[in-house]
Amino acid sequence: MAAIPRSVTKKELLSAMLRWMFFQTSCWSWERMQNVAWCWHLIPLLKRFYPKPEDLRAALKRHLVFYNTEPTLSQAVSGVVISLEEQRAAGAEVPDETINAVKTGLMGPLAAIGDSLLASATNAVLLSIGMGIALQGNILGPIIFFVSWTAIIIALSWYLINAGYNAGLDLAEAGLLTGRRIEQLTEIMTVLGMSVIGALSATYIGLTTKLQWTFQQQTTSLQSILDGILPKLLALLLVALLWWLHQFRNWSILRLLGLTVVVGAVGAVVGIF
Amino acid sequence: MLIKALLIAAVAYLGWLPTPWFGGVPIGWYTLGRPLIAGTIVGAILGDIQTGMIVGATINAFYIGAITPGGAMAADMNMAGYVGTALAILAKVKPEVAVAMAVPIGLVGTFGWQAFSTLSVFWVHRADKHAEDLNFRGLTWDLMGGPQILNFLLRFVPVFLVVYFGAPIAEQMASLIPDWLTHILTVIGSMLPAVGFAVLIKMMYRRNVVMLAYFAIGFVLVAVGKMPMVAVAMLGLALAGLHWFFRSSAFAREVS
Repeated sequence: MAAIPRSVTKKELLSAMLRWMFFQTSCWSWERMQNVAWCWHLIPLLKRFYPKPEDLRAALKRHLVFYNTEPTLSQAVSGVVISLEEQRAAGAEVPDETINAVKTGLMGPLAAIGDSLLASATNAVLLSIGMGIALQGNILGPIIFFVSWTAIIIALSWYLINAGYNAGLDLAEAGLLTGRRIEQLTEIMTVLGMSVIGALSATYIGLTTKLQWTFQQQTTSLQSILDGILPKLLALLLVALLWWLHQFRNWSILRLLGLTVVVGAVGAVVGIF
Repeated sequence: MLIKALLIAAVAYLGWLPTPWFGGVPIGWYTLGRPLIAGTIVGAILGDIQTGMIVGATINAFYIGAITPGGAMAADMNMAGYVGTALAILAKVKPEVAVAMAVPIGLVGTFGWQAFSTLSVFWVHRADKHAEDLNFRGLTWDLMGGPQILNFLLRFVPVFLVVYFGAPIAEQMASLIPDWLTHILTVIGSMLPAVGFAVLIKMMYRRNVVMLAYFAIGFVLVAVGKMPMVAVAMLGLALAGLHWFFRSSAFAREVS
């Protein structure tokens, strides 16, 4: 077995950490959320890993799929993915699906944990302390909040991206990135990833219908009937339709987007949605 | 006053959710975006740090614990902090009144976010093309050029106008945005994640048809069970363990 490469320097990890920390929401869209920033923050490393243009192109496209999670905890995912890409470039058989499954499986739980632990709890506690001091007219209030929060975020980000990278190396050293083992790892992460996508579909796709009719002074809304069948049924139908067109009719993402925008706009104007 | 209003609007832009330049969401949005910090800075710009800080802390109390999970904008606390404090100091009203005055401008802010997160889909697709062409300058522009010009206009302009011309202009601005436009953007925004998920499902489906079953389980747990994401992930891991166990025992039977 070839030696396991560990070529990523602290400087490169720091650069990836900062690129993500600053820009992760810079091109945030409802379609793929943090995807452009995710791809962009890996560019220097991917360029080094993949000298051949066709490999680099494939790597960039691999990282332009949907991604969204809590920005700071996401640094751990960055670390793992950097390590997986490094192993892949060095010849380990890490398929696209493994990298996708790892990202997708981790993003859901990390978003939930991060939003509650970091954003709600830690930020709110520090903020309350700062507000208490500020209301007494003491300028230390905002300063203490700002300094403590920023220090925690920078230290945690640095710890997480390193921990993630080392975890990826541990996977490689334990022989989990070869042959049947990587098959199993991918399979497991895909199961987790698919349940996360299912859960996110029910969370993010908020499509409802406004259609209703009146019969003998009884007004019935279509949405309440649909909710009786399955809440969020329209979200499920929409994602199923788009997936079917993409999978079996070879529709490009651009066509899927066009269809969604047209149906949404027309539906909103004529009062269906 | 012109310069002060420009400065306040510029800091409001720096502390706004999608703005990268002050440490992105982890630092900029979670510090400059909080009314406590916003109030202190507005106070410093207007020459009364003490009042600004106290007004900011008071406004912040309304928003404590508010977060933006997955980009859902419940309350525009950036707008409330910057505009609210500025109005409180300039019009010499109580913080509570200043927040109420900032509500119409909050509508403009929410519209701005909805417009940004829907229109930035344009650069997402440009990025697909630039990745294909290995155009790294293009990719960088798609991330921080185009979207940030849009984002700057949507945040800087309304904050500046209200701080400079006073609260009444907020209602005029809000009335300039037609309801049907807001509605269309909201509907399209609520449908767009389906495009991203459809592509992900195709990639994972390639492995194994049975993966659709796990999608269905995750969907129903949240749609019907309203289950929190960490619980879904725990069940997902448990399912993954079972999946692995039964797959490998089926495999063992096949070879024996």
